[in-house]
Amino acid sequence: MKVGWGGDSFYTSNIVGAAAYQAGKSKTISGIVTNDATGQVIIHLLAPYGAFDNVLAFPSSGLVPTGTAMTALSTSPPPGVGSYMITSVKPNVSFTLEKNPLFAGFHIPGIPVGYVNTVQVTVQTNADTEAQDVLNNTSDEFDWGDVIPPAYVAQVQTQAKGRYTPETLAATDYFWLNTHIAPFNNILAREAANLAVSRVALQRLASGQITPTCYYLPPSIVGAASGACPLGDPSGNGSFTASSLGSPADIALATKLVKKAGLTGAPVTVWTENREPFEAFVTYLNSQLNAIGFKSALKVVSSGVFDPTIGSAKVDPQAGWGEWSQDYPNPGDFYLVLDARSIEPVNNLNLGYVNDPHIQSTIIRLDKVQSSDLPSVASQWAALEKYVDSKDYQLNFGYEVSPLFLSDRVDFATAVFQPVFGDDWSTFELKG
Amino acid sequence: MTLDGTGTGRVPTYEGGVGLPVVPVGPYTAGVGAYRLALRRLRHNYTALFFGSLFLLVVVLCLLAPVYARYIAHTGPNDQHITEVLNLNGKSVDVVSLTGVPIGPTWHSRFFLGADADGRDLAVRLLYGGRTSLAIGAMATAVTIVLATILGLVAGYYRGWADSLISRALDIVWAYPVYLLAIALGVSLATGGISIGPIQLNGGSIFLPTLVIGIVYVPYVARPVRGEVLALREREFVEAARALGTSNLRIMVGEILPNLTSTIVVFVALQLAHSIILEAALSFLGAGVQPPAASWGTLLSAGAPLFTVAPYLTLAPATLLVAACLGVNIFGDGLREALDPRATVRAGR
Repeated sequence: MKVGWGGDSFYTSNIVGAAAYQAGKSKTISGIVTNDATGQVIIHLLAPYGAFDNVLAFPSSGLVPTGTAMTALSTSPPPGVGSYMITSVKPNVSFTLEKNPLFAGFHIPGIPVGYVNTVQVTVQTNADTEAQDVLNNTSDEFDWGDVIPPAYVAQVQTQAKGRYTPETLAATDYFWLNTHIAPFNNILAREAANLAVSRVALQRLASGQITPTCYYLPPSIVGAASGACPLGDPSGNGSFTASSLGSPADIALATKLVKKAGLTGAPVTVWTENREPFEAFVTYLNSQLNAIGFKSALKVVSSGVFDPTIGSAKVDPQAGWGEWSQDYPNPGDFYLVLDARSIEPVNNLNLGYVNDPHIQSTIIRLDKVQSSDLPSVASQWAALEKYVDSKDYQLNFGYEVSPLFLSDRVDFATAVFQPVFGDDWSTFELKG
Repeated sequence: MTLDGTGTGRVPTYEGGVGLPVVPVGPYTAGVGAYRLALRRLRHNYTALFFGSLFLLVVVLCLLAPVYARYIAHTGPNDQHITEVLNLNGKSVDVVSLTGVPIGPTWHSRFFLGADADGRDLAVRLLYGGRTSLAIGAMATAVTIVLATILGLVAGYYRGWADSLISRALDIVWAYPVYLLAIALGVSLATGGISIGPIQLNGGSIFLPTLVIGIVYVPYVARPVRGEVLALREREFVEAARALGTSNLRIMVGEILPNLTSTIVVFVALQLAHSIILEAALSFLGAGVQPPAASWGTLLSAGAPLFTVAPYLTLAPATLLVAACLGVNIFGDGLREALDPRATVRAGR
């Protein structure tokens, strides 16, 4: 909270006194009570929040020794508990991890103690070089957070067979449609946009590195829906139901819907950042919106200012590319972008300005459910997914895929890919 | 006396001349205008003519883009065919493969040069992109020439404080490397556009890169123009006009400007090449033409990441860019030589 972390609202919105502490109105967080004698920590919440145990699992919630400075400590991080420890940091250049000699003694079940003694991480901003290095075995791991450049995808698939696998992440790509201004305040316009977009086309624009979908919650999240996509009003009346995966674009029907809504020629500006494949996604959306009768224009914004620009109420953008990558494995985390409480004048998360009483009441009710009890409400989250699709509130199109791509030196069979934190270095073992 | 004006060395004859000796003289050029002379010289400069024709060919091809798109390729420059499958010699081929690699040249009417990564016909975009690049180049050149001529004329003619003011302002622009200044202006304007009184240009308008390119090159043309005006203002015909009471504006426009024409004509040709190249550079860096509009720069930028698997995406726009710039540049050099073989003025950077 004191180092300007973007996720601080997880604390300020839930813990008693956290907002006052952040605002500098109090020196401590009144809702956190500690007892040094017993080692007990009690946290008082403003309201029941079922996913709070997930929040406690954030790296930012890790316990640090008393007296640790309340400043960014990226070059000299405080000690934590894990199988590896950071021993040196050269900002923007490299950092080194060494095996924690004490960790094995903790005997924590299910957490590997690590195999290799040292992990040397070098910052490589050129994904082409990065892919080449791993292909040539001069580097051991391709950063799972990077996208394999399109020029290398086929080569990696053939040349690195047995040491490359695409892993579906708990992250969804979608186009948000601003529902509080024209034309997407009209359900027919939203339905038309949904029909005009081929998920398979978008998959190709991503060099195959997304899994097509029309649903928002990824399959690994409790409550994920499956089956046919109820795009538009499921009761009929000129509406449409497409196959859930790889639905082809239906330009003719979409054009009819735009005409029926009297929106032919309506101006739309679609927003994207200047980074691939996102720019390609929105270029495609722009082309399809024009094809069905809108007068669409593309607005490309530099990556560094994209989020603050589209998140500003003054800009009030009509449509654009969005992505939600889970902070923790809970459907409530994903639904922050459809929660009316997320609508803010700056740094707005709910870019579609969705304010639907049914969604709202469902989120508030289901957010109280403890993480461990989530399976019991999975069907209710799935029903909400179908409802959101039937209203075409946003145009979901793909679950992101990340590469687990290692050199020949690493035993691929034992390497584990974590849906939240990606490649688990503590499972990397050198062959022989 | 009659002169045939062909300059072929025919001896003049005197009508009714009696007893006067006929003296043979060298080739006569009297009566032939400077531009006609220049044209003659240019006509014998085959290199310049070849490259001039090359440039013309590129221009004509680009002007025919809508015809090609409509009647041959049957697709627009922004139409995407990502999931389309083509039947080539009985074989089905994806326009864009599952791994995102676009189809290569088919040498058929559709996707003649292949497709880009977004499933658009490369040949169509190449020609439409050429129209954009050439249009921006031409308009930017016009902006540069008009502004530079006005500033050079005023500074050189009035001298004194007007000259100091204009020259220092030009120095400020000159102090920055052209590309650095153009990129800085292009990036900042591409985001928010520009709004000066009634003139409003949004970030995607092609007039923005036009203005940026046009303005950054002004000092490079205004300086030599000013130098030439400084010399011209001391010539007898200007003094004569002044003595006759002709106004300053009339002297500048009616006496000095016509004498600058050959310099300006040379600058136009050379400046056009510079403007086209700068447009490509700006668009390559995302500070020029904004997507989805095509220009040779945006095509180069889009093709670069796929160079190893689809080199034609880069080679095709690069070839046209080189052809157009080389064509107009060498033609410009030829024009300079033709207009004033002794002149040393160049639009050097």
